[in-house]
Amino acid sequence: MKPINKIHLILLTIFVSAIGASAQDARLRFDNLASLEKNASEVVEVNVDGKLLQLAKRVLLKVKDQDAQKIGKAIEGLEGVYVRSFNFDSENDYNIADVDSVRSQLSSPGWEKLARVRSKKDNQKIDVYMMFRGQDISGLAVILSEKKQIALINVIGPIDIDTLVELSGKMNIPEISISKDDDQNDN
Amino acid sequence: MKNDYLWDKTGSDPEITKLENALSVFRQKDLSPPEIGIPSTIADGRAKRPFHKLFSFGVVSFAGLTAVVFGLSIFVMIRSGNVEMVNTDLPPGVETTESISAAEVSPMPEVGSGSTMAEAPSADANKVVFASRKPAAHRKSRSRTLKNQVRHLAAENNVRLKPGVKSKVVLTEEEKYAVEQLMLGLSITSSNLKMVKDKANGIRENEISK
Repeated sequence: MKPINKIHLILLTIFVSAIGASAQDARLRFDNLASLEKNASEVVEVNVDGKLLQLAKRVLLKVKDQDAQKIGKAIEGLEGVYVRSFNFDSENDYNIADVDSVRSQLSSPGWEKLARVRSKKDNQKIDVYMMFRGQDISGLAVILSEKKQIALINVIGPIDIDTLVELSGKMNIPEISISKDDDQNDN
Repeated sequence: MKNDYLWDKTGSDPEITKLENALSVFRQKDLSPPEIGIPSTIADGRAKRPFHKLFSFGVVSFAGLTAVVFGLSIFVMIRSGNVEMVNTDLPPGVETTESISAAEVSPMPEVGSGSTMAEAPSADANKVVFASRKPAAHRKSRSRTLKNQVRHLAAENNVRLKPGVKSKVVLTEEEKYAVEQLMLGLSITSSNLKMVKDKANGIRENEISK
């Protein structure tokens, strides 16, 4: 093989690895959540990527519902949606260290803090991080922890957040609201 | 026998004259054509029965048929206006559907199509039956489901069906599951983002009010 072709091959390999690495960087690891799952009274786990995601996108763009088509356009470049949601019966029924281990992944290079909410009243912590590839969003992460609830959200790929927020509650499935009012009602 | 006498009666021929005298009984007296006698029964019938009464039975039967068919069509119209709206809500996560548009349906499904009265002048009966209907409806297939008929009636009468009642898009099990999962994930994501946004807006308003 000629030297020039070898160099091209090496450069190509590096280029492809870089692309793959950047894509994987947006993916959070939800490996060490077994203890959370064990103690939770309700667990919601969503993993939508690959062919499943393509199928869902096709359906959304196929129907003639306006909201569904808006959502379809908002997630056109989406590569994956991963959600872990845990509800607990009593306060402090989980180890906050499990959540912090996921939060620590957001301190790696590439992630940029978009929003941070802290509420001592409800022991509420919300962190919103985004990863960019040039001007485009390549990843979104939302970590929420409250007294009786934990939500870990990881979205990979470009996504229109404004449209998602606008259509919140119009997605034809019951809106899953995470609200501090639940604690007040229980007390 | 002299030929001249036979030809133009010139001259005389005693034998011919004798024969003529013997056959004088059969001599034609009038040159006008004879009358052909028509039997009396036929002649009377022609004289007494006017032209429009010839088809009296057909006309009456046709008129009666038309009236019956028209009455049935009115009856079905009145009855079909009272059909109850059907809620066709889909289970959550699967309602990725299209909005209802004016469906094609025969407003008079089974009755009055003229098919049961095809013996009479059927073409005419059909024309009379569908005189009050939209011509397009007449051409629609009769195999429409009741659901489509309900939607069409709702569209005709400007009746709004319940929100969420949408025409179904037939999805496979895999598609249903994929959409449900995706919508669940997006719903959780959007709820959290909305909460963050609301909190940020609330803090901003507090700062402004201060």
